[in-house]
Amino acid sequence: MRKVFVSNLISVDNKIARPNGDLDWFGVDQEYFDYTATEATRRDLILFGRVTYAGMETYWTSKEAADSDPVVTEQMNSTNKLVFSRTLKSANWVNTRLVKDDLVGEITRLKQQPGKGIAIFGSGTIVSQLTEAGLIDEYQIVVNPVIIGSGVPNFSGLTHKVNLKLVDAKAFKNGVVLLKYELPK
Amino acid sequence: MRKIISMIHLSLDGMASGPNDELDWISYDGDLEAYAHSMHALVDTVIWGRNTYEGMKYFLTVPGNPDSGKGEREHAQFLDDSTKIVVSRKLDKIEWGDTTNTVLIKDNIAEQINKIKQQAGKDIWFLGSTTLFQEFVRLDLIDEYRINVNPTILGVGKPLFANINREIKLKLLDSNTLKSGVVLLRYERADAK
Repeated sequence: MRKVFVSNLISVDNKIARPNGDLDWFGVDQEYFDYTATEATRRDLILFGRVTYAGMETYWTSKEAADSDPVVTEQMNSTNKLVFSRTLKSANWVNTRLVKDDLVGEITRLKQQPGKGIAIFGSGTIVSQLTEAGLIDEYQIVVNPVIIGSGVPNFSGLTHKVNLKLVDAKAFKNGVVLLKYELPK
Repeated sequence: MRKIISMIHLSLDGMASGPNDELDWISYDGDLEAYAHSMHALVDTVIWGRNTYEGMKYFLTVPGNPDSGKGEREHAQFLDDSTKIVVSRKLDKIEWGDTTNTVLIKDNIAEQINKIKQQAGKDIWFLGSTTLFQEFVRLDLIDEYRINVNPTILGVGKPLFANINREIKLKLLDSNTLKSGVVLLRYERADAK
């Protein structure tokens, strides 16, 4: 069965973004790029919520992205993508399908199809919904060494406790810590 | 100058406790106790809020109780020997032994804490409630954050970092992993000397 991964960038105070969605506090370096490049080989489908999708579409279809990071730009465009939103009318980014309802049913079906992993990118409400449904197999939490003070909390809206198993913890040279957890069998 | 060190047990979703102050989700075992008690050698002073102070009075009963464990007895002795700073607007006095090594701070917290930091002595262990922790972060009084991340998403609870409304850049000092899956992260301010 296909696995579902989530990779969340958080601050020490457990925020995934500033109140306006900004990620400017996140320090990326070569080790982080190497990590994302490896992760990219494990998936053939990316799931976004509406807000993350909008930001990603704008960036990865820009000339700036093509110039500064051509390899990842090609990857992001050619990979199959799913955006979950009740309000979007259409999804125009290449290789993107819009799902308007029954996220849990959709992911349950997709997990049973053959293929590589399904990666969720920075969508707090989607992560919470799929966590409640027990559909996420692996959580990667990338902790940046800063307290940003206010912002969007990671894992908000959950109603019950979930015990995980730590499978890896790695500190990057710039002080970012990568934590990997699995849902216990 | 003396440092203020805060050690926190945190859930993976940033909670310091459950909705009714539950702490039963913390993967507390011999390894984590040994790490917590390694603080005894570093500090000679503790800072509490009123609630923590009331709770810590339990340790006054530990020496006279035949059922007390070794770890508890060590901690009781450590607390007896330490200077106990209690930050509370409500309290009028602190009742602990002969009270010679107690300090009550009722107002001007930053000023009074900074004065104590300049006195000679070992480092200082901040052991306050989430409310007092948030006040200390807002006042940027904490020099070292020791954050013990538990492998549990609590879902519902009291977030540690709420009402902070300021940014503090940190530097990772080290990270270690316990067998229980707890990750010990240690940070100081990015601009620390």
